[in-house]
Amino acid sequence: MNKRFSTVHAVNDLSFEVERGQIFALLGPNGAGKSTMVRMLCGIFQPDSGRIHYAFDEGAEPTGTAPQQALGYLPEDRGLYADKSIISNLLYFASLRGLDPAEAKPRAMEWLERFSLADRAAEKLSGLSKGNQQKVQLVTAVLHRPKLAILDEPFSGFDPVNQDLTVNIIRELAASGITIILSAHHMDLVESLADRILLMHNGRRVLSGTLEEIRQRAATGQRLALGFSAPFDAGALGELPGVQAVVASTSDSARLALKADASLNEVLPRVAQVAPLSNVHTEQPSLREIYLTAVGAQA
Amino acid sequence: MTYGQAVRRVFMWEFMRFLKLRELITSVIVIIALDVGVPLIIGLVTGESERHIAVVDWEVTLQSSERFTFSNMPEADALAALEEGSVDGVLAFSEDGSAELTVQRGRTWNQQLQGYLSQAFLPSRLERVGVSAAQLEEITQPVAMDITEVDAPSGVGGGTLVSILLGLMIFGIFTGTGLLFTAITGEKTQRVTELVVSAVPPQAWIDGKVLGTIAYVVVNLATLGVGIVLSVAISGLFSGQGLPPLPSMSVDPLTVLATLGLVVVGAVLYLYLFAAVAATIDDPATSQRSGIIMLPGVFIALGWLGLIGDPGNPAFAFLSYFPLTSSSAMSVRIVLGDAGALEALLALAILVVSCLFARWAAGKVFSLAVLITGKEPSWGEMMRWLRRAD
Repeated sequence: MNKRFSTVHAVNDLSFEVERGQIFALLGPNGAGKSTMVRMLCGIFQPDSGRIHYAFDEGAEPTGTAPQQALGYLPEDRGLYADKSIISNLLYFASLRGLDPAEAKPRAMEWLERFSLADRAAEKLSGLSKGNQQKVQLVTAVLHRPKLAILDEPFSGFDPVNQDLTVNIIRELAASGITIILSAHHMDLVESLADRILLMHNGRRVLSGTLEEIRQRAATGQRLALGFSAPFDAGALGELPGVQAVVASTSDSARLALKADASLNEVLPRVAQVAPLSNVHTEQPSLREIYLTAVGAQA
Repeated sequence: MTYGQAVRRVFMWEFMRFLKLRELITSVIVIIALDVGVPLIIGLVTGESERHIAVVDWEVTLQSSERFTFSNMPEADALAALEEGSVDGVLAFSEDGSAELTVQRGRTWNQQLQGYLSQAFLPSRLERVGVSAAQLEEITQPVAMDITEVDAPSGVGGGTLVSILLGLMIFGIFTGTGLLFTAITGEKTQRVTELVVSAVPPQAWIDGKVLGTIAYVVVNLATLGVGIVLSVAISGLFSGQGLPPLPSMSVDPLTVLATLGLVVVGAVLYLYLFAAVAATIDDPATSQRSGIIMLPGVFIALGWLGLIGDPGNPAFAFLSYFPLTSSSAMSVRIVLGDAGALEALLALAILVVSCLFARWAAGKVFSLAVLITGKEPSWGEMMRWLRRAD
């Protein structure tokens, strides 16, 4: 798909597929094109070229539009009717998604109970803290039990405790059969959550696949965490063959990024020649490191 | 969910969003209080009491009335009585018939006393100049003229009807557009728009909004009507005159229907246009476009001018077909008998087509503008959107 806004090519020749029941993450920094992609998925914007095919049921023919009740949406620009009550907001948006108020109310109360907001259901939304308003907004996106929930930056505005709560809720939704597409720039949270990931930069695909596939495709070498029993020269470590960079160092430790084709058996003896080692362990590169490396390579 | 269901759900939300039963009851009470209570209070505050006037050294005793009583007394006694407040004024007559009134500063009944005295002295003055009362009556008799009105049955006439309807239209449009402005700019400020547009088609949203606003305005007008009827009834009962009779209508039902049609379709046209304009406003506090809300009043007033001017001139005829003014101008021409049935139907048809076009155009502008924040699309941009629309 392609989408342009005056001088910005927000989404540039992007194609991907999401399987039913998956948690699919669009990752990238601000301005990567994630929200534009999400808005096209929700039917808010139409792509300049390209098409979206939805097939919600097994064996169903793909269609160009998704029924409103099949979609749930948490927009990046959060907003509900601040002058109306929490329960009124939930029931209204559920009704717009085709859910009968009689059915929606007990469901809404269940969700509010879970977020410890049940006793405030009749209060005006404006009376809630920003974090609690975020929770109500999240409930709005999933109250009608959509087949596809599109969550734009679901963790933003939450403290770490509520970020964890949101991660758990997204896992539960996926386990109940709801397909999740989320966009985020909290790569650490997404790393532990997503089944498949699409890394974006300037509207283009950088990498995609499962975390393991991305690691393989990124051709990023391992990380080596080293402890030394004597002072060492960090500069000398950086110049060793097979070492891409010294990521971090203290007076008695260092963390090295190895080149993709570097062999541990060859690098370690060279390191030991710089200074005596007290401990060694290897790490997989984080998604953030992979992303930064990949974007750096593209640039 | 079907398109109709989406419109219905938006309609119910928009209608109930601003409707507050307590406020409606309060407004009825305020209308009654204004209509019944205020004149009562003004009457009590400015009420007229009996005035005692001392007449100085005069042989004639003036006849007292409900408003004034007169007592003859010597000048010194009269002035002393005025000072101690037992009389309100001291009146002294000269030989030439003129009078001098001495009162405390700031009294407002002097003119009334003068009028009373003029009436009281009229017979003696007439006698002095040799004119009898019968002669005076004959002189002041108006010229006899019988007036026969053709097709002018009693009751509420066309001019009154069209004035009432256009007054209600202006009230409805101001209430409705004000509400739409508040609602739409509020939704943009609160960032609700994207969530709604992801759930319902923008055209369904604007249709539901306009219908909800119309319903709200109708309830408000009905409340106003109930308030007026109750206040008239209460006033009648308080004054002892009883309930006033229901006004009869001297306009034929087809004229009423045509005028009502023009007014309702005209109001809907304005609501669609203003919903689209409201969607383009980024910050209502600073936007120049907020002032546009006053325009319908000007356009409708232009049509109203026909009631006091000449509805037959060509410029007014043009206004009676132009969609923004036809609801008032053609209504005036219909009730004054200046436009025939075909002309009325043509104006109504043009207005209906314009209203449908306004609905379509407003939907297109609304769907794009309502998602734009941080800037206002120019009129040129909006025209481009319409040209590119399906």
